[in-house]
Amino acid sequence: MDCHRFKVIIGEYYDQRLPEKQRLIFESHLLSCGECRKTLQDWAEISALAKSIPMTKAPEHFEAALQRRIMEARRKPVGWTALVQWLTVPQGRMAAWVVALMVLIGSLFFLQRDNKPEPRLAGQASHTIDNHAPEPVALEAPDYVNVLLKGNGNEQVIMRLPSTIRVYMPDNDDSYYRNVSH
Amino acid sequence: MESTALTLNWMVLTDDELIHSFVEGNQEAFRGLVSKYKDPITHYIHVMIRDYECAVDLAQETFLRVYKHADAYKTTYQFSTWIYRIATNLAIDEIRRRRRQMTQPLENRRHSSGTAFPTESYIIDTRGLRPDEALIQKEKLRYLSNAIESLPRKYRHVFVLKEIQDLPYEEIADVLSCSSGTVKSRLHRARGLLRKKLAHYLNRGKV
Repeated sequence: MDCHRFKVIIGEYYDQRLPEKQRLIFESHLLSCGECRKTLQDWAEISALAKSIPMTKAPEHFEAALQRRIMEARRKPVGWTALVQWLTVPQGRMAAWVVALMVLIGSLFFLQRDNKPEPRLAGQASHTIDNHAPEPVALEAPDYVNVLLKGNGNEQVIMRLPSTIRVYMPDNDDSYYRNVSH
Repeated sequence: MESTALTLNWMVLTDDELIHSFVEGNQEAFRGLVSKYKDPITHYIHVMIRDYECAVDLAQETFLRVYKHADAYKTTYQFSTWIYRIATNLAIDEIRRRRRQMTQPLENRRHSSGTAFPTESYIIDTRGLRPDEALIQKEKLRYLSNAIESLPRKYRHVFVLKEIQDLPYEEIADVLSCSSGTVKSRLHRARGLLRKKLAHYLNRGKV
């Protein structure tokens, strides 16, 4: 008989969790399978041995010691009180200074980054817009570029515009605004 | 007399009744839970980490957490599942801590109570045994304890919870946050590994 098939259910048989029908089939297999019988015998021996491990008892002072720990835990401050108390010790104060310094450096870094001007082409227009293009309708940046009008071999500065503008571009079926920048 | 009456009263209450009574402010209910579970939890952790002092310490920590977080207890699990889960997590943390300590230089390791190198064997009641029988019994348990300790953690927990703490598959699954099928396969694997490890001693009267 195929013993390998029964290896899957031998544990459930051992723990008496096998349905009646499967149990009967497995027991008929056991009659002819020495290997499965040996496995069950070994498991039973290991199990009996494990159960013979003497029960460790908690010491007599267990409850008194636990009570002390509970009282200590109750006395320990939580939340803001804990934070304030922590700040009174030198390590806490040092950590607080370090955190404050890091926050300050971080803030300066981000402020500096936000104020940095956008790169642009000095004194030249990067986009030449068509004569017939509609007028820009919204302004989004403080820096300016020159807008040139080209025609008949000449070019002429006709206006100065912010470097980022929103332009009405009716070149599709649906109208939409498009950002134009450097 | 009154104290005895109260103790008897706690013994007839279920775990759920005790924990709910405690959440409502009854400190005596907590004592009832402690007296009911202090031995099983200490024993469980002791088998897992084989260090009695540390097991007692972690068992107390388990009850401290029950005390602090009793209002977070959900009745979808049995109380025993919850407390075994807390104890299991503490035992896992301790095993990890010891493993990290084993990788440190020798002089940094801790040797006092809560030693990183448990050598203690179980205190066996040898009354009624002949000296040679007592010795054999000690040896048997030493082999088994070493074999259990050498099991990978996931198999060790399942084996101890099933064979020593006698919990059903479903409760083990809840304690370890896995399925009953996983418990079944891990238990099968644990038994197989122990059988291999103890092969020389099984059925020979040695173990």
